[in-house]
Amino acid sequence: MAGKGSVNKVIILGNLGADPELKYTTSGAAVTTLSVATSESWKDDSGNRQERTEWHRVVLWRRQAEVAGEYLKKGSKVYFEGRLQTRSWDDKDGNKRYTTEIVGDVMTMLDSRSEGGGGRAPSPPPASDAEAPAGGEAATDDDLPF
Amino acid sequence: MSNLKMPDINNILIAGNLTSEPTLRKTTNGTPVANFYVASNRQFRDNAGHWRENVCFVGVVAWYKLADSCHEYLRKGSAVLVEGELQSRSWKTSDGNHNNVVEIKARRIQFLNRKERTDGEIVELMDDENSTMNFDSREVLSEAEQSNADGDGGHFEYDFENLSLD
Repeated sequence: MAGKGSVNKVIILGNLGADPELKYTTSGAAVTTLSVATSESWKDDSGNRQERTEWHRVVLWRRQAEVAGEYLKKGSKVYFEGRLQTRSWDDKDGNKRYTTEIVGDVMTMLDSRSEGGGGRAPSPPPASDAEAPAGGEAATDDDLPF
Repeated sequence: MSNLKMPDINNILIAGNLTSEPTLRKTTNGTPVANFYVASNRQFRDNAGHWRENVCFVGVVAWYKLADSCHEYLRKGSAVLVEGELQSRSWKTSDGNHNNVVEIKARRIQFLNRKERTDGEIVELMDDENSTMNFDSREVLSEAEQSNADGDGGHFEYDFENLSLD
């Protein structure tokens, strides 16, 4: 699967915002989309601690999707490596929408087994009706309006 | 490892070509900010064994001195290696949908092309036998022009409302 001649690497270590939902494509491939929060905190000029959270959409396929579905829960701490992918899809009104997501190729679960999802659970990601359907590999690669 | 205080990580490293000129703007308090899109091609074999290609388009935002350097050196088609963090913004569209965009806040941008000034003249390496303009990152990476953000690792609200044209 490795591409050739390009650099595209994402490294994320954070917490899951929701339990993984395992799905299967029509051809039977397992796929799951995770919402992962990475937070950083710092002291501002007046010495107050500030925190900012970013949300990332991580797509896992096949065996990794099944493992994630079995072992990960909301709040689980996970490490991912993957690549950034953009793709388009049509929403229910027939409009073309674009999604940017991380396609994971390395996953390391960082909670101890007994601990499960007992980690610090981030508050859920902002509500969005722009949730793209799973199906990353079928991404079209033309007519992005840039 | 669970008893260690492990920080979260949010890192991306991506190489690609600019799809248009960078736009340089200044915030109301004068901070320069550059925006551009990068296209990163990926070749892969499909299930039938044929080589196929898809493209990742991603926006890049650079601040401060890095923004000025992007404006000075980068053009449509320029090759860059961008290192930074992913951030997302969402807004409500006029038809009531939520839109979400993921972009890279750059910490470092390596310019992969030979130095070329705004007037289009190649001003260095003319006596170098290998001084061809080269878009192949694998060959020019080691000699690439480098530009480091002089940022203090600070945190910026990225809000288009507060941006005005320079």
